[in-house]
This record gives sequence, structure tokens and C-alpha cells, in this order.
Amino acid sequence: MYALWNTLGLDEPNMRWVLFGTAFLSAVSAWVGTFTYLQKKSLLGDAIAHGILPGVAGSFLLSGQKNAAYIMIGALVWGFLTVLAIEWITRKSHLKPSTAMAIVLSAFFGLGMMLLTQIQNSGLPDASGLQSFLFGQAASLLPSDILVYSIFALVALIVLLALYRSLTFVSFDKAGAQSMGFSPQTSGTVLSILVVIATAIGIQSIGLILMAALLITPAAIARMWSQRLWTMLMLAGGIAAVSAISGSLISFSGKSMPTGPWIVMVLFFIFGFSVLFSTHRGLVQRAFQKRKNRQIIQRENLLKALYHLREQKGEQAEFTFEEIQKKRMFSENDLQRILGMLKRKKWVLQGKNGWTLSGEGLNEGRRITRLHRLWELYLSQKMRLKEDHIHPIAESMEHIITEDLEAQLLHELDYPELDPHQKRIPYDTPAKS
Amino acid sequence: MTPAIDIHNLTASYERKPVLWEIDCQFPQGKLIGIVGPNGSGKTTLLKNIMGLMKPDSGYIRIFGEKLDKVRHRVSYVPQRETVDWDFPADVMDVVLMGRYNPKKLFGRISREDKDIAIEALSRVNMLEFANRHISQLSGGQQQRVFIARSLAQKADLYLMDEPFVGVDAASEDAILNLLTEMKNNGKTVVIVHHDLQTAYEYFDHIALLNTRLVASGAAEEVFTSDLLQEAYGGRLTVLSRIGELIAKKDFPIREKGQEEN
Repeated sequence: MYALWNTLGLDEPNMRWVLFGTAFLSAVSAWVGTFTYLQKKSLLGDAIAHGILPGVAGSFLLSGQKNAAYIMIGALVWGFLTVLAIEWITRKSHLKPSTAMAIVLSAFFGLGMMLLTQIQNSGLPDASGLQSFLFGQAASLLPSDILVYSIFALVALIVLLALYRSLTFVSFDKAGAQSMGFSPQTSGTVLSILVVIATAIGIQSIGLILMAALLITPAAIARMWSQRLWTMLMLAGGIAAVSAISGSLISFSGKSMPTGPWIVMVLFFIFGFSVLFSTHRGLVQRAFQKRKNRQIIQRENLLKALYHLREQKGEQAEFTFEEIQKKRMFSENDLQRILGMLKRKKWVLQGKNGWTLSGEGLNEGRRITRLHRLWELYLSQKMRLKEDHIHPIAESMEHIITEDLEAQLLHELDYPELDPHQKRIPYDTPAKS
Repeated sequence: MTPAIDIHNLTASYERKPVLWEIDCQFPQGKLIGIVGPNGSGKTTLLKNIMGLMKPDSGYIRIFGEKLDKVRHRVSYVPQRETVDWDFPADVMDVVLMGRYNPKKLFGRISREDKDIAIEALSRVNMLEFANRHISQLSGGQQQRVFIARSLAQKADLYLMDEPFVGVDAASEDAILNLLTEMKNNGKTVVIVHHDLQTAYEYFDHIALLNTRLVASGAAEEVFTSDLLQEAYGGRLTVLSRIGELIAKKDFPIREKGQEEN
């Protein structure tokens, strides 16, 4: 363990600073990003991240050195300019915000790249490392840089806490919040400022181009695992910190590998995992649910078929494989499998001459038949559907109707005896009859 | 008694198109009041103007005889249910507690008292058992009741609700209607935007009939005459709506500054 600690360079206090600093900065970015996600302004982070490049390059051009404080100032100024430009275009033209963002983003980024090339050709001593602003190079961070960024992050965090309720309310119900005296304009402006800070603090560790991922992806992942804002924020912060640390460690192990892409890859891995396995609309869970539904439908259809056979041929009869198949089209494999399953459940019994329903199976078969016929009656009585239209609908509804709904159906139809095809609607009869 | 709401010469537009012309009316206190009219008649716009969510082109509104900002804590507004994001990560309790948020307080916290108030509000709309349910799992009627509970939690004297009966099941409709009557009996004023003529007469004591202009405002039995209803529902004034479209298209002002004296 200690050896691993050493090889990763964690015995150096410098490295520990960098790692935990990056984790903190990333978490703050993710928290701010969660609110942009909730206000459906996911693109704003990307626009601002690209828009601040001229500020970063400009601060270097003016000061002649790579200093975190100057970088932050340049980034903040151009971040605000980006926000203002987007708002101005949206207000004064008929363009949608996303169009305005795309236009401003590319124009400002182009300008930034021109400045950056200018710097690289200038032969200034520090100029070589400017690449790291684009893709991040956590290893090049000094503890003093981390300190500067962390102070800004802390300010952002305090503002976020102070306006937590206002931002939440406005994100959920703008008009409602405004009617109580909250100002959507103010909280919108504050959020934009927070996004500028959240983007700028990640310049050196993640890099401008990929910063948007750190704002939005943790929020999107967290939403898949949580249903309440507070847990969503905790998760998003945690995911961002873990990705930042592991992404940095991976990039340290290679020679001058950029940090940003690795952090984004880790995030994307977690995202992919969540799409598949999340408890909230995850693909795997949904597939399982579908499979389960299919099994229930097949099982209920078989029980119903056996019940119908019993209605026709008498209570004592046992039914062969072929008879069942003639009643309802099951493939050989399916029928064998479902019968096996129902036998294990003790809902069907296998006799000398074939299959028959057990007491429990009988109840279940009767229930499905009853629901089917009740629904047919409901369709023809209340919805006035023609008799030849009602059977296929009832075929699927019989599997869905809950006990509640059944009770309501019975009440509304007043415990009917016959369905529209003059078939008896079967009830769980009391013992005497 | 000062009227709950006093509207003076209100002209208002939506996306630059005037949808309310010179509305001038008063709503009494302690009554169930319906703002009734066909689709696109400016009902929601009127409510938004009362709540200060839109700037009118002309005219002004007084609530309990004061400007809105002075009496805001006595007024509660329930927007149309579809205007909010019901997939927001919050449960029923979270939403009702929003009624207790205070815009003047930074770092605001929820107190024990706030929670008790929210619980009481939820039980008044029969939704207490759903307190921890996520809001996306509710039916339309249940969502509406949660919204009304949030409004109750504000402990206001005047309630403005935009179409609370739309997309609501029969059980919720009964629950809401009983609650409104109970609120009225406790001396509250409730103003409701409503588009359904069938039910309007039995629901409300006082009705304002609206169709981009005020057709009538008064006690339900006075307003519900076939002439007035015909006027409100029998189609638009074509010239009026055409001039509205012209204003929007050509960017003309609705009110000139420094008008000639009449």
C-alpha cells in the first residue's frame, strides 16, 4: 500500500496539494454545474469556457508570466463579456440563446487562439506551457496556484450556499418564485457569474476545452441515482472529486500526459455505467422489468387458457399439451417452460392424462378471466365500443388492472353476471355454492 | 371595505401584442371570484399583471389598497401546473416548504414551525401520506393539490390560482372545491382563472367575464345572462385583434408619451 502511495508520488506534499486541491475545485464546479443543469442551461458552461480564452492569453501577454491570480482576473473579465454578449444578442435579435452561444463561443475562442499563437511566437520564457490551458496539466500546478483558485472556489461556494433556496425555487418554478419576491433576473445573473468562476478555476487542471464536462456530467450522473436535490448535490460533488483524483493520477503515470482528457474519460466511464445500471430509469433495470412483465403475461395467459378449457370440459378433466396448444398458440419451448415454472409454484398439477389447475392456480385463472370479461363489458357499456373491437384491448388490459381498479370496475358495473359475449363473469364463490 | 384587488385602466400585451384593453374593475374581499373567458381571452395575462410578473403598458393595480410590494406577504399565487418542471429532483414536502422560503434571507433555513405549517397544509389537501413521494410520480390532480398546499403554507389573505381544475380527476376537483369554500368561510379571498362555463356559475360568487376586454364584472347571477355570455364567448372583435397584430408587427407604441388633452 505504502509502495503504491510512493509510486504515485503521494509522499510528496506538493503532489498531495495538487490532488486534493483539484478534487475540491472540481467538486465546486460540479455544484455550480448542477444548477445550470437544473435550469437547462447546460451549454452555458461550454460557451463560457471557450469564451474566456482571450482573457487567459491576454493576461499572459500583459504580465509576461503564468500567474494564477492574473489568469483568474483575465478569465473573469472575458467570462462576463461572454455572458453579456450572449444576453445582448438574444435580447436584440430574434435568435435563440443556443444560437447566440454558438456564435459567441466560436468567435471568442478564435480570438483567443490568435493571441495564443502570438504569444508562442514571441519567445517569452514561459510561453511553452500555454498548451496546458487548453487541455489541463495538473502536474504543473504549484501549491500557490491551487491556493489562488481555491479562494475563488470558496467564494463561489459561499455565494451558492447563500442563494441555495433562491436558485432552487427559481429553477423549479420561475413564476412562483417571482410572485413571492424572489428575483429570477438576479439569481440568473449570479448563476452566470458562478459559472464563470467555476470554469476559470479549472483552467490549469482540466483545461478550457473540456471544462464543460466537469460542470454538466457529474450533475447528469447524479440525477440518475437520486431523486432529491440535496443527495444529487452530494453525489455530483463526490463524483467530480473522485474523477479529478483518479484522472490526475492516471495522467501523472504517463509522460507529460494532459490531465483534462483523463478526467473526462473517467467521468464518461461512470456516466456509461450509470446509463446502464442506474436505479432511476437505467437500461438494465428496464430490460429486467420488461422481461418480468413478459413472464407475467405468459404465465397469466396459460392460467387463463387452462381455466377456459376447464369451463368447456368440466372440472375433473386433465388437459394434454396439444389441447392447451390448440386453445392458445404457445411455442413448444415456451409452453414447456411456463408449465415447469407454474408446477414449481404449485399452481398447476401434472396428472396421469395431462395438466390441471391447483386450487391457487384456479383462483388466479379465474381472476384473469374475470378481469378480461369485466373490461370487455366496461368497453362496450361505458365507451360504446363495438363487440368485435373489445377482445384485443381486454387481452392486454387484463394483465395491468390492479386490485384497486378491479374494485372500482366492479362498483361501477354493479357486479355484472355476463360479459358482452354472454359469457359468465366468474367470481370467487363462497363455500356453500 | 377596501376591495381585495382594484384594477385601473389596465392595458397589457403579451409578446408585444395587446391582449388586455383598458380593464377597469374591482374584486371584493372574502369571496370566491372567477375570471372567466374563452381561450386566449387574456385571463392568465391579467393574473400575471396582478402579481407583477409582467409590466403593463398602462394602468395600475392596488391590492388591499396598496402597491403589491407592500402587501406581497399577504398574497399567494399558484401558476398553471404545466408551467413548471415536474421532473425536478424534489419530493412533495420539498415543494410545499418552498411556500415558507423567505426572499429576504440569505442562508435561509427551514424551522420546526415551517415544517409544521407545511404538514398542516398537506393534510388540508389530503396529501399528507404522499409527503415523501417524488413529484414526478403524482397524478395531475395530486400535483395540483401539492401546488395548492404550497400556496396555503404561505399563510396569505388573497389567493390567485391559474386554472386549478384543468387536468384534474374528480376526487381532486372535489377536494379542491371544498378547500376553496373552507378558505372563503375563513375570510380569505380566492381568485381563480377558469375557462369552463359549465361549472363557473356554481363555483363562484363573483365573476369577471373577459375576452381581451372586460365584458362584465359582478355577482355571479348578474353576470351570467345570456347576452353577456354571448358577448364574451361569441367570438372576438375582429378589428380589435387586427389592430393588436399590427402593433406587434410594426413595433408601434401602445401608449404615446405627452398625449394631447382630450
